[in-house]
Amino acid sequence: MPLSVQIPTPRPSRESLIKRLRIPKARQAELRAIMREPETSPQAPFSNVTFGELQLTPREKELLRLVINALSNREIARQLGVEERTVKTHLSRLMRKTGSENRIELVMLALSGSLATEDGTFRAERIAQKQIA
Amino acid sequence: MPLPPVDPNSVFLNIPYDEEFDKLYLAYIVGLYQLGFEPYLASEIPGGERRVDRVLALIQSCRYSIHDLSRVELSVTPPTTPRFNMPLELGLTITWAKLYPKRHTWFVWESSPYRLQKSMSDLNGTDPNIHYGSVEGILSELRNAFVFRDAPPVPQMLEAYGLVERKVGRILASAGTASLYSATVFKELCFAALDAADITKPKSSP
Repeated sequence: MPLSVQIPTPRPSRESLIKRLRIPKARQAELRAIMREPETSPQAPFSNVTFGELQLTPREKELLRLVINALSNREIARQLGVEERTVKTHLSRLMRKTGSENRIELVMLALSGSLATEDGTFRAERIAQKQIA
Repeated sequence: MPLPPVDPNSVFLNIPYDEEFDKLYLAYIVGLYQLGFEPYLASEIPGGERRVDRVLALIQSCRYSIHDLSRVELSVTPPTTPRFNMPLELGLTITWAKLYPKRHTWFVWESSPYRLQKSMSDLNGTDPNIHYGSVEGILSELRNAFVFRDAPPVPQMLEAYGLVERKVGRILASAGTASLYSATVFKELCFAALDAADITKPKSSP
């Protein structure tokens, strides 16, 4: 049997737990508003963004944008606040998804318009913006 | 040297920080807040000292710790390397808890039965909590691990989880980042989890 422990009650109040997070009041209000926004789109945050046949996650989109901007793995890692090996993992997954053999092919594919538009805005983002508008 | 104070509701989360773990990470946050706990991550601790010192200090200040070893595996990119951070932090925790058993209780979580026996036979005799890599598994195991009267039922926890999950994209966008694991976003997810608990709680509950 896995370990289980008896926890004392009453449990701490939500107010006291919120206080301990030390989030500025203004940001708390913003977050509360976000939590109560009507859900117009059924799209979940972890669901993938569609690029034609491709399914790229938000993280992969961001990574691709940085690769297009010629950042090295180390620079990307610094920018995203992750380990360099994590960048490598994401990059290899991205290349697998796009069928790219290497970084250059990935960038060429992206810039050719298959993935991104000429101003660097991703097609899916633009479609989404149009839908919102 | 005096021992650091321990918050009785603090839980150190020893988990992988990677995209494939996003949902389970969120499930831990939501589930722990539903049960009245405060999760802590190593990523929250400001820099300065060596990372291992900061991790140890965090373990020492937490009453509980959950060590999710489900992603202790080989990296995708060559050279294929095992991920040792989580077992290392578990080792530190076990030592600390052996020294001060009344101050710390640790749990090991896995995705499937018998995986732990294979990867870390030194822990034989420790039954891990098995979450089967699912959000429901995490929530239900949290409820099994931390027992108290009037704990919210799993469907209620799932409802709160669903609400937070649907808002993650908006929270990240408004924070101007893509990383769920940065210290700031972690705090904001904690806030969202608490707010979701409020929004989804049944009308009759206190």
